Amino acid sequence: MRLEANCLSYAYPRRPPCIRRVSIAVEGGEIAFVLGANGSGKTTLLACFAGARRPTAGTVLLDGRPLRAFSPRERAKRIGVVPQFHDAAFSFSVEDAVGLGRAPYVGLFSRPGREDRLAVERALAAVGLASLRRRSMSHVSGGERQLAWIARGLAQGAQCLLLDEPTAHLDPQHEHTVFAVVRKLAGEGAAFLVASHHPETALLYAANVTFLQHGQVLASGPPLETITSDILSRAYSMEFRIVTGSDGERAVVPRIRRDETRTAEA
Amino acid sequence: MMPPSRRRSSVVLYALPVVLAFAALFFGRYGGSVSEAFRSLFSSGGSDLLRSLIFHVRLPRTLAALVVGADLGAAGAVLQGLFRNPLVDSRILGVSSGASFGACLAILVSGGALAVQTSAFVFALIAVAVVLAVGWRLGATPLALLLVGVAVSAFFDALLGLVKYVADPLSKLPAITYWLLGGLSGTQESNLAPLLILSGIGLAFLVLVRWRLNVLTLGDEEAASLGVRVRPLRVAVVLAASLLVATSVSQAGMIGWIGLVVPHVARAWVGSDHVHLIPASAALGGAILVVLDTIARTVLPSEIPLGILTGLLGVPAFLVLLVVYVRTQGGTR
Repeated sequence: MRLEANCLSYAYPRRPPCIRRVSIAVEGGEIAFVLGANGSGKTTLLACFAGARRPTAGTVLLDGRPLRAFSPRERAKRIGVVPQFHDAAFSFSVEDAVGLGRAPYVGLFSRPGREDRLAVERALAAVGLASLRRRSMSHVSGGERQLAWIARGLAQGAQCLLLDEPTAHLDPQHEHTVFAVVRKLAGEGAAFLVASHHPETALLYAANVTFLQHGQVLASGPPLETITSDILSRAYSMEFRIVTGSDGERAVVPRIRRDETRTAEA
Repeated sequence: MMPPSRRRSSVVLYALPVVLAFAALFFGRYGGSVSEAFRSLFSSGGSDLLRSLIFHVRLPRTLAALVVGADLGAAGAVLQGLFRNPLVDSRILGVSSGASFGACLAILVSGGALAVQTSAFVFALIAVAVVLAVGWRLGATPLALLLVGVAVSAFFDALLGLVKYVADPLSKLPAITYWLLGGLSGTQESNLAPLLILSGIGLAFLVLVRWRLNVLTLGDEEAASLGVRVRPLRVAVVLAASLLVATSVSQAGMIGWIGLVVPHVARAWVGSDHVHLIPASAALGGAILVVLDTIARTVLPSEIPLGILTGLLGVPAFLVLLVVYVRTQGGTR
């Protein structure tokens, strides 16, 4: 399983391109991160991978075959999307929400059958939500909700999951619960492409990091080579320092002078 | 997938309209007591007139109430899901306004019952055609359809105002006003067939695609990522819901609140999964309208317009629901 973009560009109608000649790839068993400032094109890039937006130039290849050659249904059986947030007007049970992932397998006029229910059960077990299956999605924690959307992707049969800032509003514990599951699933062969604001999370979990800036690739490679103070400073237009702890753990610290923070407090 | 306790209560839910419709046959202004009606139906000694009244007047009317209620309940549930908005009701797409204008125009020009019904239906379809044509160009997103629907509604309301303005205040205007208040008094055996057939088509389609409707309650991009072709599906569902609304409005005039309140009650009963929600909304809508119509035709010497009754009873019911909902959910979100 390999999902790749070659020299991908995308422009919204009557606008300058917001993604320019981006090449990036993710393979089965791998977690790849896309980092970059707000508006750098992360979400649009994921939308091109999801087939929701058609690139204006360049191609997206799924196992060497152009993504456009897949029907929406065939594509959905291979690529799953985990939304950043989800404003449900009405809330489903966890089980039913995960069951929506069976849409590519269920005919227009039919309902999920035995096989679909089994797939949902397997997906719930894989992310550790089996005990919450009947709980309403509005009564589970943010982290559990993200896990449910990941399970929905698994129920889709997707071997590649696109995560758009999956832990943007999760506390550290929940963030790491979600990524522990992601790492476990990657170990079982799934591919993850994660758009994120957190370089530190990428340091912990990513096999590969791509920095986007103004829609172009600023840097890409293993996290230790790409998440450097130099690249971070350029990506986010502010100073950073990488601090290494006694156990080799790394932290990304913004360099802000004391008097600046005090002004902010005042 | 439904826990067993829910399964038992859903038996009650689907028995409700059947039992109530059967009971409604024994109530009426003519023939006095319920026991008399019972005798005329089940023993040879009863009144033939009453029996024929039950079969040829009350039965068609009760059927019409059942079907119109089911139409409005199901359409309301579908549209709320489609627009991802709990405040949407069956009037949202301009279909009702189109139908009202059509009916009143026909009353103004001729006044025959068939002409009124046909004209209402035709203008309802014109309204939804405009909404879909313009909405499609805007990407057929829920917001686009909603905005165009509001605009088309307003346009037909203005036309309706014009019709009222030029209508003869002594003969035509009261007829228009009465029609707009809604009611099933015009129901006859002869005009039941189109109602049953068109409602049957619309309801059957929605019941068949009901699992897919769950996918449409997600955002467009999310639904598309699940391999669903969102725009055609949404248009087909809008057409089916509009068919139900157009059919019921041309049969019964403007009956508000059913399409808004019933889906909420149904949701509290069976949950948000459209697999259960659509049939439940249809069953509850039918049951409630049968009760209201029986009240409308029996309580006072002359009919109470249904639109007034649904408002008088629907609004308090809605407020009670709202309070219960906010208490149990812990917020107005």
